[in-house]
Amino acid sequence: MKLTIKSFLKIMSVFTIAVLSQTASAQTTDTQRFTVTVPSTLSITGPADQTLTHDTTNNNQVFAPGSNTANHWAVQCNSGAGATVNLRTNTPFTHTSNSVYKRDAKLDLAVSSSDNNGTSAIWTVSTASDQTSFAGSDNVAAVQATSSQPGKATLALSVTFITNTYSTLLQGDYQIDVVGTIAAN
Amino acid sequence: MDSLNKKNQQGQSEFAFEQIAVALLLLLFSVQHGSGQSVEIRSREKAQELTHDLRSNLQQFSEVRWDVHNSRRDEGIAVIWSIDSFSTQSGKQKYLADAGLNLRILSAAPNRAWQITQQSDSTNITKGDKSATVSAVCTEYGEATLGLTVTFSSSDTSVPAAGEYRTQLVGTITAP
Repeated sequence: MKLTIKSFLKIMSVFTIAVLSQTASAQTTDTQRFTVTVPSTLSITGPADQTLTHDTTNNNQVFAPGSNTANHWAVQCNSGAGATVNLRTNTPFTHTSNSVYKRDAKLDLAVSSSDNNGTSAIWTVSTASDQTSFAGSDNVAAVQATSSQPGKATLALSVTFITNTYSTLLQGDYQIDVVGTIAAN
Repeated sequence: MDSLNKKNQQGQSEFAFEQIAVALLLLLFSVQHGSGQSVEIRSREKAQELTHDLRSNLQQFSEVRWDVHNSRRDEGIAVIWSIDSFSTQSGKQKYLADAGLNLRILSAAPNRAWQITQQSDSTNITKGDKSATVSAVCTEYGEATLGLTVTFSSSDTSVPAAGEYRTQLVGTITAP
């Protein structure tokens, strides 16, 4: 009887191992994780330098960006809170060889294209227009656009040379530098 | 007389144990060859990662291999892979991106047993479809290695928000 029980236990052990090993090799589901890292991006790219020749009238002279977005400012941000773009000149138009001669500069900003969130454009203009007033010691003109979520845009900046009286202009070149900055909100 | 009874009892016990042992062996045989534990699915590669190039809305992972085994001689299986949209959390804001799946057979034995029933699919977040599924069937005993390509697709109209977007590919065998 002892031998028989031993034999039975042996058979049971073999059976249990066999079933367990069979169960361990069976697998009806498996998973695999996929991760995409989207890096932060925050950029602003200005168009090429612009020149024009005065038409010799008292009319203001306008550097119009036109419809070609290559002449616009390209901005992009993928921060969750969006970004703010400032376009600014710290001087009026100033004669390149005689800084006594100046003319005010005016900036006008529009969003020419923008990513949208399905219902509205992501980028909007928050300060559309500003101009210097060197007579009033205001040498700064600045405009601004903002976004509140990730997205890219092109911004059309129109720059105006305010002539006043053409006859009192010293001949030569008048310049301003427009500086664009972008910061995540 | 007593010793005769003892012998009889011992003989009956031995016979009963033998019967149980035979029954258990038969059960083991049926488990191995029946509808029990003889299918298997495993992803061969580990978790996959890529960095978005910020130039294209569509980003593609390298193809990954999944091994599927069906040792049930007379019954087929269906294999389904499903994936949810990619998602990432930034503060209180959750961002999603579409996930795409493409399936192909890399190797199969026997060839006749394996067939793709749904080759590709992708989620469509804007239409509320946040799950994509591809599938294959094996009609008899066999094994195969299948290739799955996962894609990440952000909206055409927006730069994807910075962050780590994750999703999980789930492969499941279903048997009749």
